[in-house]
Amino acid sequence: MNKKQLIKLTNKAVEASLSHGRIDSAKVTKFVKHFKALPLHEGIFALKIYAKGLKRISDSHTLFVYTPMKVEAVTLNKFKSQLKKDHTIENTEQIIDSSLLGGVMLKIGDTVYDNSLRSKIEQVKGAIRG
Amino acid sequence: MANVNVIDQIEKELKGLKLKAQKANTGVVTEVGDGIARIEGLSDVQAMELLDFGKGVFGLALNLEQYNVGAVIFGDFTLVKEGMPVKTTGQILQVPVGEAMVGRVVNALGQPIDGKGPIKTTKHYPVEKIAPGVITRKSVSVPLQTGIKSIDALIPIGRGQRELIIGDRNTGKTTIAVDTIINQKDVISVYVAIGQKASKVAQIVAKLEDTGAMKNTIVVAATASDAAPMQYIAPYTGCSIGEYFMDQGKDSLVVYDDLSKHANAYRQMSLLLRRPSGREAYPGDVFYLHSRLLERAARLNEDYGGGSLTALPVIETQAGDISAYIPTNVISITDGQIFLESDLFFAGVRPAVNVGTSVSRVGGSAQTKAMKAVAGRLKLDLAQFRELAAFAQFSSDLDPETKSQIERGRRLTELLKQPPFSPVPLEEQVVSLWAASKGFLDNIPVEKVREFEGKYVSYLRLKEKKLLAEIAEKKELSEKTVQELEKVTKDFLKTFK
Repeated sequence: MNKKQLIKLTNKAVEASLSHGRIDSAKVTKFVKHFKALPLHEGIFALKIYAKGLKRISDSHTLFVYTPMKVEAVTLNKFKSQLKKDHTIENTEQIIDSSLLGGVMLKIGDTVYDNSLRSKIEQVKGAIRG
Repeated sequence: MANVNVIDQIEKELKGLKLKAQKANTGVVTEVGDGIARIEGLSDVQAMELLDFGKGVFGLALNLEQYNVGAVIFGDFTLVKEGMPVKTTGQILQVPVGEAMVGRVVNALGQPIDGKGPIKTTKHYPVEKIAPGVITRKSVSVPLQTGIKSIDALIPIGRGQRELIIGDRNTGKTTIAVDTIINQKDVISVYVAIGQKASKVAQIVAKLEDTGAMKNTIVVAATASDAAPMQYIAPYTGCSIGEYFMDQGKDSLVVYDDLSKHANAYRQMSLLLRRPSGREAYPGDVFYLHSRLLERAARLNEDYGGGSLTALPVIETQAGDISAYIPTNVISITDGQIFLESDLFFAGVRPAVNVGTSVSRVGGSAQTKAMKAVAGRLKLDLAQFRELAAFAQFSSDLDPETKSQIERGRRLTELLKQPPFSPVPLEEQVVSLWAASKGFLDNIPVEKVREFEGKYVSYLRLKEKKLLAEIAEKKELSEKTVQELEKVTKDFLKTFK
């Protein structure tokens, strides 16, 4: 099988690993078994693409909350409820990033909502530079 | 005091500023090299959307694949590393436009590179724009005077036309384009340099400044050392800048020098983006690359401002092969072509325009009445001369009529020669060509024709200023004018040795 065909097959496997938009662990186990049965170099490549695909799906349903210091679970739930209108959120993860200086940055899938102090300083910088 | 002024300025900038949370679509760079980046993520990106790589580096999303995006990087791609976050800007690529651009030299993104400070303009135009529709246009009827006798008389260009300048290297293509720019007074010119040497662009800018043409000109430079994406974008930038003036009801001229290098840059980009290649390794849409650019040249009707955008694309051929891929593409798009030949150039015929094979599909509609009156006879005489040119070496054995046609043709060819960067005003062209077509040059030795022309025109400028002014104003040769010209020319001939 050539690289292009393998990528196509693996992406189909990623889509088939979902049940009602969620990752089905039984299906994942089945596909991993199939990929392990492939010739070694093909199997490694396919598993890499498969894992990437599953991570992409998982990240698209995971809310990453970046804050300069730890916040309460209540606050995290508030963020979750705000974004639930536009996104499907299954998990929430908090990441401490002191470079934000203040405020919060929320990331779900490829979409980022940046209300951090760092971003506001950048806006001021841009305005001064014109 | 200066500090207070700076603080005041900063306060002014910040006064109306509203800081708000920002929403962006992001991705991560997975591969970067040769000016191309592959990005994972960016699920909401649009084609041709501007991407922000941070550190002042921007890119353009070109390849939208299922799970990743292929982007070209403008500027220094060594600043982009694997794993870097990238975000969309929500903007399709735009460039600054406006009156403030006139007299400036900018890069393909519209940023000034002439060291004269920032360009203060608030207007922006998208780089890619749909060409004006059929209903908005008007037919081309106003001439664009190039100041080059052979072109204005035999291959006239109108405002809103696309006329290709095609020839081998060092045949005078850029000189024709620059002469045309120098001759413009009420037309805003945009000179787009694609893939050229920076030294050559600097020489052109210096020449335009010396002749005072720079005050009506904008130069867009994407030189050979610029990345292929910059060379790809540059013609569209130039077109957008010209379109602004067209939309204001003014006439503008855009020179694309040259589209062969533009096609090469696009080929390089497409191959790096792994797009399927076609003939001569060009991507399949290389025709569309130029057609969508050149279709934006138009003359708008009064309902849409009445402005115009004239395009002068330049194509460099190899060994005179005009049947190659890119030349044939562009020939089929444009409204005519000016062929420049190396043989003519080395034979001393400069500009080296082959008037036999060059054509303007707009033709006489783009000529003044005065020029039409002399051009018809000129064309005929030159056509007859070309037919008989092979017999010129046997002139001693020919009948008197054939001999006279050959001699007339030689004098006309000599008259059409012109030094570079010396455009000739319309009225001077008309009187010189009129004198030649009426046979006043038939007794002048060929090597003295240009001396005759120079002295004749100076004589008219001195003694018959009114006559020249009348031709310049009315743009036609009335019977009275012709009679006066005949009298004046006969008088001058008596004094000319």
